[in-house]
Amino acid sequence: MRKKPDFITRLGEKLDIPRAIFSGSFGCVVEGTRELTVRGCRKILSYDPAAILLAVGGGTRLLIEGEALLFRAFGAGSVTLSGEIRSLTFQKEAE
Amino acid sequence: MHPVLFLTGFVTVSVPSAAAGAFFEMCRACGYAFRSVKNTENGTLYATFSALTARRVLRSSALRNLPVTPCVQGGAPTLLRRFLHRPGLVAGTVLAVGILLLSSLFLWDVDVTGVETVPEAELRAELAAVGLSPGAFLPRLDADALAVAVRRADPRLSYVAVNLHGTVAAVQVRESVETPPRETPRPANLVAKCDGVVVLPLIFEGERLVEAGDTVRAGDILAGGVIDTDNNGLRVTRAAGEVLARTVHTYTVRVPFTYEQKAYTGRRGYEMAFRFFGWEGNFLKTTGKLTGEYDIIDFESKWSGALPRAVPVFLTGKTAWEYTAVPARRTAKEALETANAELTALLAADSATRTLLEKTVEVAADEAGVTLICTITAEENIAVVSEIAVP
Repeated sequence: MRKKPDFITRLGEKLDIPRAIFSGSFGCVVEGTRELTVRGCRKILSYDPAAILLAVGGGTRLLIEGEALLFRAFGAGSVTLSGEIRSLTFQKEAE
Repeated sequence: MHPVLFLTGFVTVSVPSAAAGAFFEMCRACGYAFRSVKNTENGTLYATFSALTARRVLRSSALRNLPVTPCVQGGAPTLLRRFLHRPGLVAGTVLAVGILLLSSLFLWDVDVTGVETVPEAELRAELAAVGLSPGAFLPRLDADALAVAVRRADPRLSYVAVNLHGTVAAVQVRESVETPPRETPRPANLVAKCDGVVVLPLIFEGERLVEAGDTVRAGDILAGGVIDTDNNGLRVTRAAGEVLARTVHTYTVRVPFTYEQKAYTGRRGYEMAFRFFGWEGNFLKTTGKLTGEYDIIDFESKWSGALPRAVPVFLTGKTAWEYTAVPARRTAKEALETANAELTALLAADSATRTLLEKTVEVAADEAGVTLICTITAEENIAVVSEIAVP
């Protein structure tokens, strides 16, 4: 059974408000397969050149897998990393 | 490297692979921006921070028990700190800057133009005597007064101008042209300077006493300065003219088989001095150790680099190469070649005043050397002036 979106999400959808302005949201910008910027990163849970696990908003974890992954910059809740990115996997905290 | 990072100083820290995640999380949470980061093959992470940020990173790492260790420090503050720990270097730099600033107050060089017959070294010595030499204090130099002083000191100069261009003095001179005093011509004969057969006597003044075909000896009068006139008696004059005559000359060149030549011993002596503007200080002299003869090579290590003129700070000195004279022997062929070369040089030296008509060369050799006997027949002017005393 499909889970019903919360009130804030429904309100934003109704009013066409960008989700980025809501607290707890996150986003990813991938530049090719070499660079990734994650907005709304709350914590770096683990780091390895082959896999990085980030805690992002909404109780979600983002697993980035690839080769020679390396953080390049941090700033205002965003992290930028580079390397050969193979996959992005979203996981719920409970999983 | 970014110039700002160099100016502010930088620190590179190393982080073991096991702590890399916690290190990144600390940087993210605290907002520590690294300038560069790289991962080595063994997993150790190297991140470079500005010196200020690095201090915070190390402090935060210590609080979190992260094994972060600084491994490289660099940039201007580090260099300055190292520099300040060497008092000799600091003193030398201060001294060099001081000399550089003060050197603009002193004369670096003197350019002299316009000298033709007066030796430049003498002129420079005269300029130095009146106070115009490298090292002179520029604010006290009065160019006009110096020019007047030099002109008065040396009668060979008719005009002297001194122009100061920055730290260089340009001295322009014009030498005096002396008019030879007009002298009353004194009576003289034309006499033969050597034996010969007269070919063409050309007498412009005086009484001609020889004809073409006459044989004359050295010292014979060719044209008389005393003329006996029918109406006015004896008249004296200065005989002038040319008497072309056929002459015979003999040259003898002997070249021995044995001779002495220089053999350098390999020992060298030095004399070196440091010259700073007009001041010169000797600091090395080893020529006193040489016992034999030596050749001297002078040198000056003037440095100009990209500058239009040499810097007035340089080394000067000389190198003496010791040698001994050792006996040597040349072959007959070499001796003959040497003799021919010497004979050619002798003939060339005399060729300007005579026309060569005939040349015979005899070669005589003995156990000691080679002798060339060269006889030449030439045509030349044999007349020379011989003044006569008139009571």
